[in-house]
Amino acid sequence: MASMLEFRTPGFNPYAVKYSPYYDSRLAVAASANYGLVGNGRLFCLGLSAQGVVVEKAFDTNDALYDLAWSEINENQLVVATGDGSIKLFDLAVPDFPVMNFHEHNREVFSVAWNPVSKDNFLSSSWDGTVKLWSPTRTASLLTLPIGCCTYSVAFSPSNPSLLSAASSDSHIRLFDLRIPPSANYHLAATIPVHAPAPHPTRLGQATYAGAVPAEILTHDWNKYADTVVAAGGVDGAIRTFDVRSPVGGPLAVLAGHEYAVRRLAWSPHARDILVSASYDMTVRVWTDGSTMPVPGAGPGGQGTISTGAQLGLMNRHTEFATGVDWCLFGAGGWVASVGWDERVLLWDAHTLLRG
Amino acid sequence: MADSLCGPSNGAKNLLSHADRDRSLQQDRLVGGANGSPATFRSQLNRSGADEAFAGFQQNGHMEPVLNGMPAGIPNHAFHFPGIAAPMAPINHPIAPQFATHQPTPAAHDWVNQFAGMNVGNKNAPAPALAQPHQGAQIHGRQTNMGYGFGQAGFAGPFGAQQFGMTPQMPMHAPTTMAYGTQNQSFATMQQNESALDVDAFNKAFGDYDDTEFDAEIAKWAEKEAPAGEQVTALPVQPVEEVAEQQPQEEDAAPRRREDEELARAAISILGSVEKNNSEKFKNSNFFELMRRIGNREVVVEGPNLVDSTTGETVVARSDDGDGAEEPAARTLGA
Repeated sequence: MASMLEFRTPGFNPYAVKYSPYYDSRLAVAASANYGLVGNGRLFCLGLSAQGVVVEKAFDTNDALYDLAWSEINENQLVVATGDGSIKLFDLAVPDFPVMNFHEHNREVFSVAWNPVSKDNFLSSSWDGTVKLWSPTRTASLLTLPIGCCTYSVAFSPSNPSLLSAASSDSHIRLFDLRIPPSANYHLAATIPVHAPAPHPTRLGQATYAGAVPAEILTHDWNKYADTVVAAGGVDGAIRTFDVRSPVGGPLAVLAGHEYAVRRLAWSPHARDILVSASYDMTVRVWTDGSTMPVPGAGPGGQGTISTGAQLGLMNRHTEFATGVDWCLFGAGGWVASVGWDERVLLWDAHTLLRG
Repeated sequence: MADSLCGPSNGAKNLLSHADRDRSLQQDRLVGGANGSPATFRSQLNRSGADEAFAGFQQNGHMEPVLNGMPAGIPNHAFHFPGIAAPMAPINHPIAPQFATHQPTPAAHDWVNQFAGMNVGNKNAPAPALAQPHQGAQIHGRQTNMGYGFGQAGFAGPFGAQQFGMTPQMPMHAPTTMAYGTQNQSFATMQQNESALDVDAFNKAFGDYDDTEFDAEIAKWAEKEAPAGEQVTALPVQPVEEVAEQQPQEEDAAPRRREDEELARAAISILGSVEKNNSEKFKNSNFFELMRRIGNREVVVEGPNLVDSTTGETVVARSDDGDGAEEPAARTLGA
């Protein structure tokens, strides 16, 4: 691989990395001491400069950090998810301390996501079995959505400010539509059983697809182009994509390759079929979901066949679990940041992987 | 809402099933899964084996938190290696066998009733039998707090643990007598209603001996057993809560010891789950090295740090070469 930028987070094991939606040269890393077992957390705000990657700002927290999300409405702000159940809003212009603290979750907060459309609220999910909707200006949550089991990942639809999704340990992705009256199901619009077999006979490769043993889902993301497509990854190491319009219709694609659990995945902001994933097998892989490829042996429109996609590249530089990955929104397209428990942040161009 | 839905949050627990290709733990949960309601959305479809298994999983996922409050298969935690929770669950705690031995067996029944009738001790003392419901609460409390509490949250609900789990930490003076009192009270409460007749018979047979004499004997015995200088006047029965209050310092060490124990077990499980992986990376992993040391009790949790158990020095989790660890300046590779 050609060029790769590296940054070290000494004493802290990163859990998540996110590029700023405002600047091509800014990214943030949420990290925890002692692999998050015990001890503090630190939020690194990094900048790309002529000297390489430098710390623009660092914030220390009393508890481990598990995720972060940049504000979509203020280029200097971001929220972090902490192990003590609080969510903290930091401002790069305000040193040391968070400008807001949101503390309603009873257990570790595992995921935060900012609304990319309305930009005035964000989500958090926690091991206390709830998802909460927050306004950055209020300390009390706007809404609490019951999930009932650990929810590792929460996300907004990229095109609809009212549509959100939560992936949890019971092998389901739940879709909530905030426009639905809360009366019956607390805005629950649909549930995707990720490991369930397809209702109609479908083929995956040469075999009939019979579903899979249910396992925890650790991460999911919405496709930025096909706004009804969601990809999910988890303990069984496979990545599956679904069309939310057909929640029980089975997966569109199953991407197998990771040897251990998939810890984080992200769709490319530049191409509709590309996604990147980080895994406990210490690799980061770039995939196509096969939606732009002809499906061999498929009927018209590829009906009845689940795509197996293709692995386009494998980044093997991390020497511990790879825990976070994100795409840069800017540039020629293809710059990826990945973090791992080897205390390293790596910035690299996915195109170099594709070329081999 | 549900605090404990996700199970224990030991810092290392969930690692196992993430790394575990053998998903038998997940499958175990499906066997004989109680199906309360049909999986409506797919009930009209042809159900394959996997389909049913999935339905079972779905329902289990919802039932277990309600039934057990602590689904073994749905753990959570910093590393999300869920499988580890299952091996952890059976550990439970020392009180279980203790209570088991206290259950009156049919053979011992008469003796128990008679013994209960003697009413040694204070009838008004809080009945330890009430503590039995605490078993559940304690297990729950411990498992949900364990790990989470590594020097951070601590034991939010240590009551149960202190009350019973700490027997080894009881002060040295006459632990036997202490246990005796508790046991007796327990029996008295449990058996009171049905023992009236037996008591009469017992009194007839042993009317000569009255309680004061028995108390005196007990006190004498306890005095003899106790280390010199120790006062045992509080005997025979002291409400357990008071005892717990009196020994917070001694008992503080025990939850921590147990946390270390749990963490060590989790670490061993994690290592076991990847032992078949011979890749260079996994062999050289600092994380797995740390797990090894934790598993060997070489590293323990001390406040917010991991420390070497022999030297007491803080263990710094350091990445591979340590190069550049001190200077956060970045470098460009290759190019």
